Amino acid sequence: MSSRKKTMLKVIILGDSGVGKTSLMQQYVSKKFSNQYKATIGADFLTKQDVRVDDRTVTMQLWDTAGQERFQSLGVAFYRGADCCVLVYDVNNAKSFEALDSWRDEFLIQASPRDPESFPFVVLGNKIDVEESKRVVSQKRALAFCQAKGNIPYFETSAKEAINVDQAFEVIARNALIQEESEEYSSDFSDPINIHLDNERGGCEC
Amino acid sequence: MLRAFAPVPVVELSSKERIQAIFAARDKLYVGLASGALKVYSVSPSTGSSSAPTTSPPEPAKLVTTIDQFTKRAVEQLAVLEEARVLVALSDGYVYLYDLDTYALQERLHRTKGAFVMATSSDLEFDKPFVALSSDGSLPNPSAADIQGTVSRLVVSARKKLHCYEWQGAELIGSREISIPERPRSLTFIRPDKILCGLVVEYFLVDISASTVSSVFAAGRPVGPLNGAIAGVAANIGDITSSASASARRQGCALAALLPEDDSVLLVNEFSSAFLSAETGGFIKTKKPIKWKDVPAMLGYTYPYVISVAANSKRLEVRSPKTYTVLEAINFPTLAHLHDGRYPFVASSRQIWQLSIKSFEEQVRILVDQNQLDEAISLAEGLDDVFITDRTEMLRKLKMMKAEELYMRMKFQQSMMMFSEVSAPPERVLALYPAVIAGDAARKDDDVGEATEGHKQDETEADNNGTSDIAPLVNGKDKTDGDAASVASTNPDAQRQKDVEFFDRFLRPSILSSTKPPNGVVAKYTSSGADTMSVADSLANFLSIGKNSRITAPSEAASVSDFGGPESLDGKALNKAVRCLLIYLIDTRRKIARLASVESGTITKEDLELVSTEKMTAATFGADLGKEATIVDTALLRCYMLINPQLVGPLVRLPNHCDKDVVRQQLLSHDKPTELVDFYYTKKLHRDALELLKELGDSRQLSELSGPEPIVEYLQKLGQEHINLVFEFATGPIRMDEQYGIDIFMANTPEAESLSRTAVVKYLSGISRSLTIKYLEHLVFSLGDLSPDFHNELAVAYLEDIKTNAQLYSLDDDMLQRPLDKLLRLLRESRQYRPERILSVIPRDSSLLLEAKAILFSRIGEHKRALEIYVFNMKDYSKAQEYCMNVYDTDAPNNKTVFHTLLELYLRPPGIRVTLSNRMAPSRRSSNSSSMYNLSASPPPPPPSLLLQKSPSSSSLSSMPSYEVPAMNLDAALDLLSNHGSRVSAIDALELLPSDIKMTALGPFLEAHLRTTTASVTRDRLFASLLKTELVRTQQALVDLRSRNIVISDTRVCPVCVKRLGSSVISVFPNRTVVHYGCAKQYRETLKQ
Repeated sequence: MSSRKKTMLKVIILGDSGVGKTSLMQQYVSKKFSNQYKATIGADFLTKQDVRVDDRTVTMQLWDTAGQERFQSLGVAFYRGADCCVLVYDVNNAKSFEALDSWRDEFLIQASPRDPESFPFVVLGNKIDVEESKRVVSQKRALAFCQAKGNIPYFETSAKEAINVDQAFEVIARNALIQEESEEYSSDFSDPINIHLDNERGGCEC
Repeated sequence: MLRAFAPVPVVELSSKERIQAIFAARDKLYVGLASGALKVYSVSPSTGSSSAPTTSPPEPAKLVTTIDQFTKRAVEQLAVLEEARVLVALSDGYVYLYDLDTYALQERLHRTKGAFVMATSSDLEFDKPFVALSSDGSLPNPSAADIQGTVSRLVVSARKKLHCYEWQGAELIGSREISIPERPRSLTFIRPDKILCGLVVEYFLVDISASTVSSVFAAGRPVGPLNGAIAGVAANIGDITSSASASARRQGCALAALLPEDDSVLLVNEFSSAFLSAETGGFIKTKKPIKWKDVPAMLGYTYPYVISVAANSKRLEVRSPKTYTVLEAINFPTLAHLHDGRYPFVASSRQIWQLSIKSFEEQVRILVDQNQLDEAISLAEGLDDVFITDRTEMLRKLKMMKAEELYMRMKFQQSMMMFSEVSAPPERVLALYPAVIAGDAARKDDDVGEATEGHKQDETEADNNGTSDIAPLVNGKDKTDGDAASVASTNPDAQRQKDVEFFDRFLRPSILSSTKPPNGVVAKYTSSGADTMSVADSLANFLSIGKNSRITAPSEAASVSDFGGPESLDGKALNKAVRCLLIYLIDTRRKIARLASVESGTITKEDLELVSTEKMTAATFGADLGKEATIVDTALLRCYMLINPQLVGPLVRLPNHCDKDVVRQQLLSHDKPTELVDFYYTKKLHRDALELLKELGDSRQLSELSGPEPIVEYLQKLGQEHINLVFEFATGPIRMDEQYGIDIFMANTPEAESLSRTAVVKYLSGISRSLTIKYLEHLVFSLGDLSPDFHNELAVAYLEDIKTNAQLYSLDDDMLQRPLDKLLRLLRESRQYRPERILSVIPRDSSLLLEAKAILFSRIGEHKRALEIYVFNMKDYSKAQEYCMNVYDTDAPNNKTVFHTLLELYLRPPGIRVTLSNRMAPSRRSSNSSSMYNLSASPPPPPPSLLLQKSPSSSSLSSMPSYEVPAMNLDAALDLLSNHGSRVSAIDALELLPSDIKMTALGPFLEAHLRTTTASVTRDRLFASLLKTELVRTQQALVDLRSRNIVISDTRVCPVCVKRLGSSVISVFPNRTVVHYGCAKQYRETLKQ
């Protein structure tokens, strides 16, 4: 495989309603932030071109999802072929943190990756720009969670102040790329011609 | 081969006559002969009937009238303008107009000299393109108003001109001529006012209203195949003798037909074809050109098919609306005429056939029957809803059958995608899988299979006719030996049952009018042979049309027969099939979850429609959403078990509907108890979980769930609503180690805090006192619980503890000292407990608890009794004094006299009041009494305490009770008086003091008292003087203020607004400026500046 090959990485962003999924994505892709809250309906995606990961250039397709239950309608196709899943919570909202586990489980079920243990997740604790006194989820608690779930990389970010956003997505891209490459050898569903099936009953030709 | 059209011979002429033109309108068929005669027949329309599944017997047309001298020469072309009540005939190079009712000649259109071909149209046809074909096949009569406003057009091509005539209603309203470069060979209306002219090698698009002509090719978008064919066309024209349809008179030239479904125009020239958008006039490049086997000579469109007659004129081809593959080919003797549209007719030179269209349901069914599912689907997709009852549902069934076929051909992924697309019921999909995945869904079919085993041979005949897409499988099975057949029989049975359902639902409303539930049908198969036969027979009869024409693609047949039924899948194939099943299951799980949240009201129907493209209701999956959810989730679990056990965890931890028993069996057999516990937790089956944990915890086998910790962890997750379970299962671990109790009940978690404290205290007190104390301390000191009960309980628990430990440990032992300290701390600090209740529990004569008692008495305001304890029992005078200092409060009447009370106790001890006169001598007992815990009796001889009765000698502290009567304690009294004399009334004190006391002893007291009194008098005097001074000062200030005045005269003006002050409200400033009240603000600001 050529190291210069252009690769499309599919990244899915999940998390409770209002934790800042769309904002993080907007900040990363277009360096913009809006204070206005607008619920995402269904799903939306942005593409970030020419992301450098070591010596490779990749394109990242970031899928933003509806956090509100009433707007969720993600078909199987949405999750299929995902290379990395980003779980976002709001450090000032304990419930959004507690929901991470469910989001992770839900993703695993929907995407059904071949090797769930090695599938890359990244956890982002967003809104750290809000004053410290309002924070309810400590870094320690978040790190303990990530540790327990198989050393998930953890970042504390602020989409508003653009803190740690690029760093987080760099890791997301790198991990997604690793996943993408491993998937290439065991592609999930696309297996249109199965030669072995025919051979099995054919036996020896001589 | 589809049989959409049934050709019914309706007219046969004598050998002398030759048909030159036909036109059908409503119930009339107009036939123009070479002799110039016109014959009018009445025919019964038999199009698209859904109510009559069987073809009606051929009904020859009745000759209504014959007009011999209709035209002088042969009638070349006929047309009817219904709304204008005009019959149009082209003959001898002219167009003639006749009255439609009397067939009397109205007019010869002179300008049409050299007329070659003509075409008619009316707005009505475009306004309501095909809805008009109602279920009985008849055309609804347009109302009079409709006709009045309708514009009908006649376009005649004569030489290089188009003559256009327009009628509004029955009135000819105008005509115009449009020059075109070449003489058109065919005319096709594609819009009410746009006509496509087919030339020899070209097409022109003519806009009649705008009188513009544009070349289709000149638009700069030549189409390959058509262009290539252009050169060779010209030669073909001459040898064609007959006129073709209403619009195209010459075969072999450029043909065109409007296809209303996608609003395109099919252009055909020789072997080549192309599609033109009727809207824009541009080519549609996305549609692939039709491949013709023979050059089409005549082209037409009868909803929804493209029909054509091949150049050899012997075969009518019917093409599917989507794929344009030949669905049906009907052979005829040489055909010369084709009339398309609503009333399709074909004619040779002597014979006319009506093409009667079968109902679309029947057409679909025939396709299904012939295993042409793709065509059936494409037909059903292309049809308008009005033609098929519940088209969506039918399409869904078709796709499910197609998906099953794909599955049989091992195209698992496509199959599952299709099932998913139509939201197939999970039972149906799972029936394809072996029991290891399908579980009950597969077993149920086994039962059916066994039950029908006896009838199987009898039914084989019916099977051959009755089954559709799996027919080859059944056939293949019959050829194999019986064993294989019985193994494979489950699937066809299930299959057939569904097909019966399908046909019942859509095609045989008359036979089984009530919709039977699937189980009812199964019951019919299983219960009695007669019943089974009747259903199967009727089905077979009904389907017999398709019996002889069955066409099975050989490749499909081969691959299908390779598939030996669900159980034969194994290894890689099974793995792959299961992996693909996930696509369906996950998607279905999601859909059901969405529907369920609509049912439960979490989201609204609008939300569902807002974000889902799929139209679905609960009934899509089956009546009981919960049941379907169980089937799906359980199957999902089995799939994961088989191919990806790591995903079982996430599944059971999420809200799911997995079947409890299956999960237990699966997870235990795969040694995944942790996941099972998680599952129980998610499903709130806590008792199951705890029992499992207990079992595992007790078992000798070492596993991740050994020991009591897992139970404790689990219990920590349970809140108040499961409190009884918590109590039940907490006992075990707590008996092992009390620390577990702390973990369960005192953890800083919402669950632990939700537990009812009263219940926990009650529970714990039955298990361990020390744990109870810990819990109560946790409540009282950590959580700050203020309910008196817990404070009482804690105090009582301490007392109990002290009582027990007093028998086991010495006084200075920590085990005794600690609870004692804690008790005192509680009694001093807490304001919540009920002192009376604690007092009632304390043994009266307990020397250990004297101080506690004193605190308690103090709490209830019994200062005297408290002090008695300090003075008589403890003989700790400094403590007594300290007590008084703490309590003394001049504002509270009860507490004001506390020093006096103490003094009284010193000087007139209660026990000796009576004997005071006899025993005047002060007590020799000094305050340096050896032990403050010396046990002594209260004034009235007390009953022996419990403590002492139990083990009088065990406590080193209990000395022999002394019943010594307390004596007057003058030293202590004097000490008190000298320190706190001012807080006791001197008169009271002197009264209490014995009369024989020395003045020197009283010296300090009196001195202190006088000093205090004097100080108080001095202070009050000083204060009075100060107040007097203050009064004088205030009076002076008042006089000053009163003396101030200003004079408002008529001339005095406000310095701000320079207006007279008059009698307005004014403001006077300290500098004696007078302004209007309203101007004051402004003036203030100027002052500030």
